[in-house]
Amino acid sequence: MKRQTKRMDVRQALVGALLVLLPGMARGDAGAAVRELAREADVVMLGECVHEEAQWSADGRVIVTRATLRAKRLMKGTAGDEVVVQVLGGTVGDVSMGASHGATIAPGEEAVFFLRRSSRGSYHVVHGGNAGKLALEPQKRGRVRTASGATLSLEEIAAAVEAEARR
Amino acid sequence: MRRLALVVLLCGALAAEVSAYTLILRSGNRPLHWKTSSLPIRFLVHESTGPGLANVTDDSDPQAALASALAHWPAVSSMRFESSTGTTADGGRDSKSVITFADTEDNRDLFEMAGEPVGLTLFFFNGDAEISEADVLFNPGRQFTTTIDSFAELDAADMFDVEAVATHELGHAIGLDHSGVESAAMWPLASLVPRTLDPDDIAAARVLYPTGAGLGRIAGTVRVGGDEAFGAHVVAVSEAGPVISVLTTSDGAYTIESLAPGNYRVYVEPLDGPHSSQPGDPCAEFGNLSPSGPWGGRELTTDFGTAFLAQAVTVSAGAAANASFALDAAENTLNPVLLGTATATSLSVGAVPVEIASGSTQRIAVGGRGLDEVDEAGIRIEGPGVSVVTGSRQLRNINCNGNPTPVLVFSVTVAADAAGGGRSIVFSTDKETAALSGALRIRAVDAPSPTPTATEPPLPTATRTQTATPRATSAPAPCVGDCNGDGEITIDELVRGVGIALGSSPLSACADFDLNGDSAVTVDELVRGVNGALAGCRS
Repeated sequence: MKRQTKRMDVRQALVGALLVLLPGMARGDAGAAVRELAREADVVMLGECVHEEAQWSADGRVIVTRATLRAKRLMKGTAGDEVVVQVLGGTVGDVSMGASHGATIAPGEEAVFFLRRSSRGSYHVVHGGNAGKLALEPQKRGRVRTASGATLSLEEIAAAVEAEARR
Repeated sequence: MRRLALVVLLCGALAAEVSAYTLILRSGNRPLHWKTSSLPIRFLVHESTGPGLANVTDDSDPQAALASALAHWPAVSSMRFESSTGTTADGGRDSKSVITFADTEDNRDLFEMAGEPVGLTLFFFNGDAEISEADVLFNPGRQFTTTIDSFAELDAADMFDVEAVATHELGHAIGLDHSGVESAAMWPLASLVPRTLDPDDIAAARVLYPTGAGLGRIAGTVRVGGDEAFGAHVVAVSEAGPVISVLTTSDGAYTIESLAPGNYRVYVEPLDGPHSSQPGDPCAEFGNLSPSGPWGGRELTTDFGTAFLAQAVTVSAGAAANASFALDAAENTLNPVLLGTATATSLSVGAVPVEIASGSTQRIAVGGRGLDEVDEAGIRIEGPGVSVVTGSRQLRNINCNGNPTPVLVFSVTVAADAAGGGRSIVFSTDKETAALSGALRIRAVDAPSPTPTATEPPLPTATRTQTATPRATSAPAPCVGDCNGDGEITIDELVRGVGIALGSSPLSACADFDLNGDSAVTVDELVRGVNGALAGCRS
């Protein structure tokens, strides 16, 4: 009986090891970009940039651009009609500052934004830089392009955000 | 946490002007640059850099790693750096270019606004696109090291390599943008791994900071359905195999500069996400398509299939060779988006190129839409010295959000004399072609190690058809459980081993499990077999 137990331990250990190490082969719903972004965003919304202005930071060391987004469809979180988002970079006078990483938002741009409330001030930041901004592509009839090149409809984005919220 | 970090890195990395070897273009398509008269760039490395930094492991030498990183770009171009110790801890305009790991409120503020990338470079410039200051910052919320040499180990340790991150960020500091060539240091995720420059990086640096005469260029246009293609990825493959690429501008035009004279195969592909994976999450949809700069916020032309020019293009010193494309608009049904390695029982796909040492063999995994239609003859590696092992193709599937995604697994063998640099994998069916540009990073084994801490690459996964020269200094480990001697351990073989261990099968069912020759199969021997199945037969 003792021997049988040991045999089962061996079998269980092997099965366990395989189960642990096989998921790369048989992975299920691993979570796409939208869910990943939605999970950590405070606010997810379809918005349009209605105004933006570059300015020096209070200490005069960096240039930031404050973009005002008009909320057209809120998918997660709470937000008023307009949300202020701050990104690095811009031009003030004859000085420009760029940043190697970070979101850019152009006037008139319409996109699904994944935003986080800043811990530093009364503004939001784009979660994950530009990947947290899924731009609408007019030529594709309002579909949104993800970073991998796939396109999703707004309904599909909203469904993914809601699915993540239910988890 | 590592997964999250990768997501954030990816998001941050992809946030900027992703493209091919790319200059940071401003109005009038003028590239950002440092004037010759303003060189060398004098970097002040913050005085805290050294042992005791909270975000660098204790056994690391960040100063030495930074010194190595600072040597890379000047070694291949006329860019010059100087460095000394300084007291400035924060990034921001002060007429001093700094390199800092410092954990300050201001630096944390910057990283928050940038989306928490691993590294961040701020650059100040005037209306003539002349840079006057560049600050390189390491995220105080990340952990860095100089003592881990492989991506897998870095990933497991949830850390980032100081020299690799610094090399990448210094590329931004001199005016370079991200590259669409995966083997490049300027690939958006390159800061995870490579410490050295790729031919794509070198060509980019030499555009801004020439090293002399003797180079040529390829120029042309890309039109799709009669219209100018915007943001099409044009790739030149040298005779030795490495690739260099650029993006088309709004008029459909492109120029690949700083090319050594010789013949090049040229192809164009849609910038539709070379791969969309991240380690541990093969289904996550992240890729390289999030450009800004002149390409920012605009819809790129991606409705065409990858196309090669029929004839090689000859580049002569000081001259421009023309290579133009006129393509039909088409919906892509073949799109490789996952890249990684494979063992008999698992796939490991990541968002970085697969590095292979010359003289070795590696099992490659590539997944994406339509790949189940690609047979072995439809897989090729551009350039000499790297080939697909005959009979090695397998088709697997992963389930991505309920959608089965085909994954091709095949072995690639690299000749001992293969040139170092990035190689493209090309997939073809009778209807379509698609490429992963620079997906393989060939490391010539006789090349100097990137850093003093670099170690030899892991032994290749052996295959029956392997033709690579065996490594003289590394005796192959026993392949415990490889019953049929094909260099891989399958689940069926493991089950046989379990049967022998349990006494339900004779030893003759798979004598290869009996490592110590005691005519029995022990738990230790089974574990060796499982490890071999999971990590490669010779691991």
